[in-house]
Amino acid sequence: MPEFARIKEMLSIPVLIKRWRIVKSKKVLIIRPNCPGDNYTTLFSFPAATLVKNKAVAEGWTVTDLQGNNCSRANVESNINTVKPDYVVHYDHGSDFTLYGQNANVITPAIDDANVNLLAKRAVSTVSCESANGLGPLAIAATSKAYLGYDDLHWVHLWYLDKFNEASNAANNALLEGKTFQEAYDIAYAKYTEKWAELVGPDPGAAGLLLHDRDHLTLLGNPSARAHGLKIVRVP
Amino acid sequence: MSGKEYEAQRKKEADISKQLALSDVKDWLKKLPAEKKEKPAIVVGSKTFTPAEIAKEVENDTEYGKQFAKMLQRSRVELSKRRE
Repeated sequence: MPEFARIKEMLSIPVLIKRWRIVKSKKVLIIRPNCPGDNYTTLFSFPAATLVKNKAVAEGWTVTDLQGNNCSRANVESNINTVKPDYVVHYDHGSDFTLYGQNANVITPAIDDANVNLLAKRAVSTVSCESANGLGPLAIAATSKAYLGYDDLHWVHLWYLDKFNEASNAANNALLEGKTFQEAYDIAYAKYTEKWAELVGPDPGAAGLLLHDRDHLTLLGNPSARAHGLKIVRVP
Repeated sequence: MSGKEYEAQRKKEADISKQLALSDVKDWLKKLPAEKKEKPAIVVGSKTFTPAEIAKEVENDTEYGKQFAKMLQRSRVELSKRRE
Protein backbone atom coordinates (compact mmCIF):
# COMPACT_ATOMS: atom_id res chain seq x y z
CA MET A 1 0.00 0.00 0.00
CA PRO A 2 1.43 3.35 -0.92
CA GLU A 3 2.59 5.35 2.10
CA PHE A 4 -0.08 8.06 1.73
CA ALA A 5 -2.94 5.58 1.58
CA ARG A 6 -1.56 3.71 4.59
CA ILE A 7 -1.38 6.89 6.68
CA LYS A 8 -4.82 7.95 5.50
CA GLU A 9 -6.26 4.62 6.58
CA MET A 10 -4.52 4.84 9.98
CA LEU A 11 -6.08 8.23 10.57
CA SER A 12 -9.57 7.26 9.42
CA ILE A 13 -12.27 7.65 12.06
CA PRO A 14 -13.28 3.95 12.19
CA VAL A 15 -9.64 2.89 12.63
CA LEU A 16 -9.04 5.52 15.34
CA ILE A 17 -12.18 4.46 17.17
CA LYS A 18 -11.03 0.85 16.99
CA ARG A 19 -7.52 1.63 18.26
CA TRP A 20 -8.17 4.23 20.96
CA ARG A 21 -10.52 4.26 23.89
CA ILE A 22 -11.53 7.00 26.31
CA VAL A 23 -11.34 5.58 29.81
CA LYS A 24 -11.64 6.97 33.34
CA SER A 25 -8.48 8.28 34.95
CA LYS A 26 -8.65 7.61 38.69
CA LYS A 27 -5.65 9.12 40.43
CA VAL A 28 -6.22 10.60 43.86
CA LEU A 29 -3.76 12.53 46.01
CA ILE A 30 -4.52 12.51 49.74
CA ILE A 31 -2.90 15.19 51.90
CA ARG A 32 -3.22 14.41 55.60
CA PRO A 33 -0.96 15.96 58.24
CA ASN A 34 -0.72 14.34 61.63
CA CYS A 35 0.78 16.90 64.01
CA PRO A 36 1.71 15.57 67.46
CA GLY A 37 -0.33 17.27 70.17
CA ASP A 38 -2.92 18.58 67.71
CA ASN A 39 -6.22 16.92 68.61
CA TYR A 40 -7.98 17.87 65.37
CA THR A 41 -5.41 16.14 63.17
CA THR A 42 -4.33 13.23 65.37
CA LEU A 43 -7.73 12.22 66.71
CA PHE A 44 -10.02 13.21 63.85
CA SER A 45 -8.72 14.20 60.44
CA PHE A 46 -5.81 11.78 60.03
CA PRO A 47 -7.83 8.67 61.00
CA ALA A 48 -10.83 9.90 59.00
CA ALA A 49 -8.60 10.17 55.93
CA THR A 50 -7.45 6.57 56.46
CA LEU A 51 -11.05 5.47 55.94
CA VAL A 52 -11.23 7.50 52.73
CA LYS A 53 -7.95 6.03 51.52
CA ASN A 54 -9.31 2.51 52.10
CA LYS A 55 -12.43 3.43 50.16
CA ALA A 56 -10.32 4.80 47.29
CA VAL A 57 -8.34 1.58 47.07
CA ALA A 58 -11.53 -0.48 47.15
CA GLU A 59 -12.97 1.64 44.32
CA GLY A 60 -9.92 1.04 42.14
CA TRP A 61 -8.21 4.43 42.48
CA THR A 62 -4.46 4.85 42.30
CA VAL A 63 -3.69 6.51 45.62
CA THR A 64 -0.81 8.80 46.49
CA ASP A 65 -1.01 9.21 50.25
CA LEU A 66 0.98 12.09 51.75
CA GLN A 67 1.04 11.69 55.52
CA GLY A 68 2.44 13.81 58.36
CA ASN A 69 5.73 15.49 57.54
CA ASN A 70 5.45 14.32 53.92
CA CYS A 71 2.83 17.06 53.56
CA SER A 72 5.36 19.88 53.33
CA ARG A 73 4.57 22.54 50.77
CA ALA A 74 7.47 21.45 48.56
CA ASN A 75 6.38 17.82 48.65
CA VAL A 76 2.73 18.62 47.98
CA GLU A 77 3.73 20.78 45.00
CA SER A 78 6.11 18.20 43.62
CA ASN A 79 3.57 15.39 43.94
CA ILE A 80 0.82 17.35 42.23
CA ASN A 81 3.22 18.16 39.38
CA THR A 82 4.52 14.63 38.94
CA VAL A 83 1.50 12.46 39.82
CA LYS A 84 -0.97 14.82 38.10
CA PRO A 85 -3.90 13.65 40.25
CA ASP A 86 -7.46 13.94 38.97
CA TYR A 87 -8.71 14.42 42.50
CA VAL A 88 -7.03 16.17 45.43
CA VAL A 89 -8.34 15.30 48.90
CA HIS A 90 -7.17 17.25 51.95
CA TYR A 91 -7.82 16.56 55.65
CA ASP A 92 -6.35 19.03 58.14
CA HIS A 93 -6.55 22.65 59.17
CA GLY A 94 -7.69 25.33 56.79
CA SER A 95 -8.27 29.06 56.80
CA ASP A 96 -9.84 31.45 54.30
CA PHE A 97 -7.02 31.27 51.76
CA THR A 98 -4.95 28.28 52.91
CA LEU A 99 -4.95 24.50 53.14
CA TYR A 100 -2.32 23.46 55.64
CA GLY A 101 0.30 20.75 55.44
CA GLN A 102 3.02 19.77 57.87
CA ASN A 103 6.77 20.25 58.04
CA ALA A 104 8.99 19.19 60.96
CA ASN A 105 5.86 18.46 63.04
CA VAL A 106 4.50 21.99 62.60
CA ILE A 107 1.48 22.91 60.50
CA THR A 108 2.52 24.96 57.53
CA PRO A 109 0.70 26.34 54.47
CA ALA A 110 0.68 23.77 51.67
CA ILE A 111 -1.72 25.28 49.14
CA ASP A 112 -2.69 28.95 49.14
CA ASP A 113 -3.26 31.85 46.79
CA ALA A 114 0.36 31.68 45.59
CA ASN A 115 0.19 28.12 44.24
CA VAL A 116 -3.55 27.59 43.77
CA ASN A 117 -2.91 27.04 40.04
CA LEU A 118 -1.78 23.54 41.01
CA LEU A 119 -5.47 22.74 41.44
CA ALA A 120 -6.36 23.70 37.84
CA LYS A 121 -8.39 21.05 35.95
CA ARG A 122 -8.63 18.93 39.10
CA ALA A 123 -11.46 18.00 41.44
CA VAL A 124 -10.79 19.19 44.98
CA SER A 125 -12.30 18.30 48.32
CA THR A 126 -11.19 19.30 51.79
CA VAL A 127 -12.39 18.55 55.29
CA SER A 128 -11.02 21.55 57.14
CA CYS A 129 -12.02 25.04 58.27
CA GLU A 130 -13.04 28.03 56.14
CA SER A 131 -11.21 27.55 52.84
CA ALA A 132 -14.44 27.64 50.81
CA ASN A 133 -14.51 31.37 51.59
CA GLY A 134 -11.34 32.30 49.74
CA LEU A 135 -9.18 29.52 48.38
CA GLY A 136 -12.18 27.70 46.92
CA PRO A 137 -13.25 30.60 44.69
CA LEU A 138 -9.61 31.13 43.70
CA ALA A 139 -9.34 27.45 42.73
CA ILE A 140 -12.48 27.71 40.61
CA ALA A 141 -11.11 30.86 38.98
CA ALA A 142 -7.95 28.85 38.27
CA THR A 143 -10.21 26.29 36.45
CA SER A 144 -10.55 23.59 39.10
CA LYS A 145 -13.49 21.39 38.09
CA ALA A 146 -15.22 21.72 41.46
CA TYR A 147 -14.30 22.45 45.08
CA LEU A 148 -15.99 21.04 48.15
CA GLY A 149 -15.05 22.53 51.51
CA TYR A 150 -16.40 24.48 54.47
CA ASP A 151 -16.98 28.22 54.69
CA ASP A 152 -16.72 28.36 58.49
CA LEU A 153 -14.94 26.50 61.28
CA HIS A 154 -15.26 22.71 61.13
CA TRP A 155 -16.12 21.39 64.59
CA VAL A 156 -15.84 17.81 65.82
CA HIS A 157 -16.70 16.02 69.03
CA LEU A 158 -14.25 13.47 70.41
CA TRP A 159 -16.88 11.29 72.06
CA TYR A 160 -18.70 10.59 68.81
CA LEU A 161 -15.90 10.34 66.29
CA ASP A 162 -17.62 7.52 64.40
CA LYS A 163 -20.56 9.82 63.62
CA PHE A 164 -18.32 12.76 62.68
CA ASN A 165 -16.16 10.50 60.49
CA GLU A 166 -19.18 9.10 58.72
CA ALA A 167 -20.70 12.51 58.04
CA SER A 168 -17.43 14.23 57.10
CA ASN A 169 -16.38 11.38 54.79
CA ALA A 170 -19.73 10.91 53.08
CA ALA A 171 -19.03 13.35 50.24
CA ASN A 172 -15.57 11.95 49.52
CA ASN A 173 -16.88 8.40 49.56
CA ALA A 174 -19.58 9.36 47.07
CA LEU A 175 -17.06 11.09 44.79
CA LEU A 176 -14.82 8.04 44.91
CA GLU A 177 -17.81 5.96 43.79
CA GLY A 178 -18.15 8.16 40.71
CA LYS A 179 -21.03 10.38 41.81
CA THR A 180 -21.19 14.04 40.78
CA PHE A 181 -20.22 16.83 43.16
CA GLN A 182 -23.88 17.78 43.54
CA GLU A 183 -24.82 14.20 44.42
CA ALA A 184 -21.88 14.00 46.83
CA TYR A 185 -22.93 17.25 48.50
CA ASP A 186 -26.54 16.04 48.83
CA ILE A 187 -25.41 12.70 50.31
CA ALA A 188 -23.16 14.47 52.84
CA TYR A 189 -25.94 16.91 53.77
CA ALA A 190 -28.31 14.01 54.41
CA LYS A 191 -25.66 12.11 56.40
CA TYR A 192 -24.98 15.11 58.65
CA THR A 193 -28.74 15.46 59.25
CA GLU A 194 -29.06 11.74 60.00
CA LYS A 195 -26.20 11.85 62.53
CA TRP A 196 -27.62 15.03 64.11
CA ALA A 197 -30.99 13.30 64.56
CA GLU A 198 -29.26 10.36 66.29
CA LEU A 199 -27.49 12.67 68.76
CA VAL A 200 -29.92 15.51 69.39
CA GLY A 201 -31.81 13.58 72.08
CA PRO A 202 -28.92 12.18 74.12
CA ASP A 203 -26.42 15.03 73.57
CA PRO A 204 -27.81 18.21 71.99
CA GLY A 205 -24.48 20.02 72.41
CA ALA A 206 -22.67 17.47 70.25
CA ALA A 207 -25.55 17.30 67.78
CA GLY A 208 -25.38 21.05 67.22
CA LEU A 209 -21.85 20.71 65.87
CA LEU A 210 -23.03 18.31 63.17
CA LEU A 211 -25.73 20.73 62.10
CA HIS A 212 -23.20 23.56 61.95
CA ASP A 213 -20.82 21.49 59.81
CA ARG A 214 -23.69 20.48 57.54
CA ASP A 215 -24.82 24.05 57.02
CA HIS A 216 -21.31 25.25 56.18
CA LEU A 217 -20.41 22.51 53.71
CA THR A 218 -19.99 24.43 50.46
CA LEU A 219 -19.92 23.30 46.86
CA LEU A 220 -18.20 25.55 44.35
CA GLY A 221 -17.67 25.11 40.62
CA ASN A 222 -19.44 22.67 38.34
CA PRO A 223 -21.98 20.58 40.29
CA SER A 224 -22.08 18.01 37.48
CA ALA A 225 -18.32 17.42 37.63
CA ARG A 226 -16.99 14.09 38.85
CA ALA A 227 -13.75 13.43 40.69
CA HIS A 228 -12.29 11.13 38.07
CA GLY A 229 -10.71 12.40 34.89
CA LEU A 230 -10.73 10.99 31.36
CA LYS A 231 -7.81 9.73 29.35
CA ILE A 232 -7.30 8.24 25.91
CA VAL A 233 -5.53 4.90 25.82
CA ARG A 234 -4.41 2.81 22.85
CA VAL A 235 -6.10 -0.57 22.55
CA PRO A 236 -3.36 -3.21 22.32
CA MET B 1 -41.43 52.16 64.84
CA SER B 2 -38.51 54.60 64.68
CA GLY B 3 -34.97 53.52 63.88
CA LYS B 4 -34.04 54.02 67.52
CA GLU B 5 -36.94 51.88 68.72
CA TYR B 6 -36.06 49.19 66.21
CA GLU B 7 -32.46 49.09 67.45
CA ALA B 8 -33.67 48.94 71.07
CA GLN B 9 -35.98 46.04 70.15
CA ARG B 10 -33.09 44.20 68.47
CA LYS B 11 -30.90 44.66 71.53
CA LYS B 12 -33.67 43.40 73.79
CA GLU B 13 -34.08 40.33 71.59
CA ALA B 14 -30.31 39.73 71.54
CA ASP B 15 -30.42 39.66 75.33
CA ILE B 16 -33.28 37.16 75.22
CA SER B 17 -31.27 35.02 72.76
CA LYS B 18 -28.30 35.05 75.10
CA GLN B 19 -30.47 34.03 78.06
CA LEU B 20 -31.93 31.23 75.93
CA ALA B 21 -28.44 30.11 74.92
CA LEU B 22 -27.30 30.03 78.54
CA SER B 23 -30.38 28.07 79.48
CA ASP B 24 -29.74 25.63 76.58
CA VAL B 25 -26.16 25.14 77.73
CA LYS B 26 -27.24 24.58 81.34
CA ASP B 27 -29.84 22.03 80.21
CA TRP B 28 -27.21 20.29 78.12
CA LEU B 29 -24.69 20.17 80.98
CA LYS B 30 -27.37 18.76 83.28
CA LYS B 31 -27.87 15.87 80.86
CA LEU B 32 -24.20 14.89 81.01
CA PRO B 33 -22.83 12.60 83.72
CA ALA B 34 -20.75 14.62 86.21
CA GLU B 35 -17.47 12.90 85.33
CA LYS B 36 -17.87 13.77 81.64
CA LYS B 37 -18.22 17.51 82.15
CA GLU B 38 -14.46 17.90 82.55
CA LYS B 39 -13.46 15.52 79.75
CA PRO B 40 -12.02 16.91 76.48
CA ALA B 41 -14.87 16.85 73.99
CA ILE B 42 -15.18 19.62 71.45
CA VAL B 43 -12.38 20.29 68.98
CA VAL B 44 -12.22 23.25 66.63
CA GLY B 45 -9.05 24.41 64.91
CA SER B 46 -6.23 23.95 67.41
CA LYS B 47 -8.55 24.29 70.44
CA THR B 48 -10.11 21.57 72.57
CA PHE B 49 -12.88 22.28 75.08
CA THR B 50 -14.51 20.25 77.82
CA PRO B 51 -18.29 20.76 78.12
CA ALA B 52 -17.67 22.91 81.22
CA GLU B 53 -15.16 25.05 79.31
CA ILE B 54 -17.42 25.61 76.31
CA ALA B 55 -20.22 26.60 78.71
CA LYS B 56 -17.86 29.20 80.16
CA GLU B 57 -17.15 30.45 76.63
CA VAL B 58 -20.88 30.96 76.10
CA GLU B 59 -21.20 32.76 79.42
CA ASN B 60 -18.28 35.04 78.56
CA ASP B 61 -19.67 35.73 75.09
CA THR B 62 -16.42 34.79 73.34
CA GLU B 63 -16.34 34.05 69.58
CA TYR B 64 -16.35 30.29 70.23
CA GLY B 65 -19.07 30.71 72.82
CA LYS B 66 -21.25 32.70 70.43
CA GLN B 67 -20.82 30.09 67.68
CA PHE B 68 -21.66 27.27 70.06
CA ALA B 69 -24.76 29.09 71.31
CA LYS B 70 -25.82 29.61 67.69
CA MET B 71 -25.48 25.87 67.07
CA LEU B 72 -27.82 25.06 69.94
CA GLN B 73 -30.25 27.63 68.60
CA ARG B 74 -30.06 26.09 65.09
CA SER B 75 -30.72 22.66 66.60
CA ARG B 76 -33.84 24.06 68.26
CA VAL B 77 -35.01 25.46 64.92
CA GLU B 78 -34.31 22.16 63.13
CA LEU B 79 -36.28 20.27 65.78
CA SER B 80 -39.18 22.69 65.36
CA LYS B 81 -39.17 22.08 61.61
CA ARG B 82 -39.54 18.37 62.24
CA ARG B 83 -42.45 18.88 64.63
CA GLU B 84 -44.45 20.87 62.07
